[in-house]
Amino acid sequence: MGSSRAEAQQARRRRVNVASGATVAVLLAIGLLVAVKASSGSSKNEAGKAAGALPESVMADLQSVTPQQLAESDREPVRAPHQINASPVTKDGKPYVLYVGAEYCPFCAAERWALTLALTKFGSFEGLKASYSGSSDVFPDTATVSYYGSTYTSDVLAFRGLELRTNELRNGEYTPLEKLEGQDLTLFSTFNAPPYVDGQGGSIPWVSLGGTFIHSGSSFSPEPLAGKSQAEIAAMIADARSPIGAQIRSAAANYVKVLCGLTKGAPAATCDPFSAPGS
Amino acid sequence: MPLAVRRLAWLGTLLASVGVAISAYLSYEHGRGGTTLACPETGIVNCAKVTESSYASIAGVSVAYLGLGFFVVMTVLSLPWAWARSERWIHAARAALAGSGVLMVLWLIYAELFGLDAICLWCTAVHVIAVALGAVVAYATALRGEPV
Repeated sequence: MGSSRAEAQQARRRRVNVASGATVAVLLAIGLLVAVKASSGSSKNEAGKAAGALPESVMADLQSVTPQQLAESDREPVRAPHQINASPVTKDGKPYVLYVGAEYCPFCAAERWALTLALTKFGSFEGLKASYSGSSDVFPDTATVSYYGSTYTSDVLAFRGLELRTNELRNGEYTPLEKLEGQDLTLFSTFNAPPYVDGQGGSIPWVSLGGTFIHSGSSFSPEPLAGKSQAEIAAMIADARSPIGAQIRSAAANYVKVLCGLTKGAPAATCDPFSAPGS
Repeated sequence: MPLAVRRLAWLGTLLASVGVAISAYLSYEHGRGGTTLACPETGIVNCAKVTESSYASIAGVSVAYLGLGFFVVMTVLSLPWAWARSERWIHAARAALAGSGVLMVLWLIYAELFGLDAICLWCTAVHVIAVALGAVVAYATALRGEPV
């Protein structure tokens, strides 16, 4: 009786040892994976699809979309900027629009189409370049424009588009491009955090519209833009029958509505269609 | 049922329930389009890159859904009631499922670190729970004393 009890205890101890050994083996395997990764660092390098000149048809197509067409755009289910309880931000006496994104980011790539379309109704861009999101990220090589190196001129708005990183991977990190500083850094760190945005904050794209409206993330998924060139996307935006274009026009219309509120309806040619009943 | 096994059973049930909650969130995110439509400011912590990658599905089924199913079944099998049952297949199924969960976690960690160069924090939380659950099942099975 006593010996069978001792045998049972011994068998139990053996099983517990096996369980302990298995647990330790799993933890060691995980530790090994992490240690190998940490010691080798990330050596992943990837050039990303090179930026280049923007085909002339792109800006022509964006400018061909009239404010009236934007106001009448089919209302697609896209995300819109939301109002926050904060002080207005101006630059040179004009409402200040700040976009923060990065060239590698596919959601920034999608959002730039809507924001650029909206801003062309208030002023004009110089020096926009063709760009692509990162080749190894989700929604790879999404065609877009980059705000890096561009200027925007408007009588009623001030705009700055900051691209924090390129689409080039060096040692596993996208290389830095522009830096957030001064007032822009204050705006980004204050209003790209809870409770002003969902989640933990700090994500891009992020847009501040006059300091009183913000938009975090993209208005729509970049998925339908896959495999399309800048010229093809711009042509879809100009095509009233294109469902992808309708999404982008709806997202742009949301921006225009907010911006018209900030500029108190200026310019009238852009904002009047948005004040019409039913728009 | 020994007291230690009963306590481990409750711990396992708690872990599996938390696993259900997190994997339900990941499944919801996957179902509504996959992402919060935003990028991280840097690069390494990038949930979208992980959850939308080719590693995120097996035979066309999202890993998020597989994880949800795994934790739902494990929650039931970890209840003290299930540990007290005499049917051997219940204990064999629990041990096999817990073991395959741990192996899956090892594969997914490898994929994140070496295939994608990106980490999803929600996924990491699920990995920690699956490994802890594996350890709990291993110890409880050993202490229970019956062969599986």
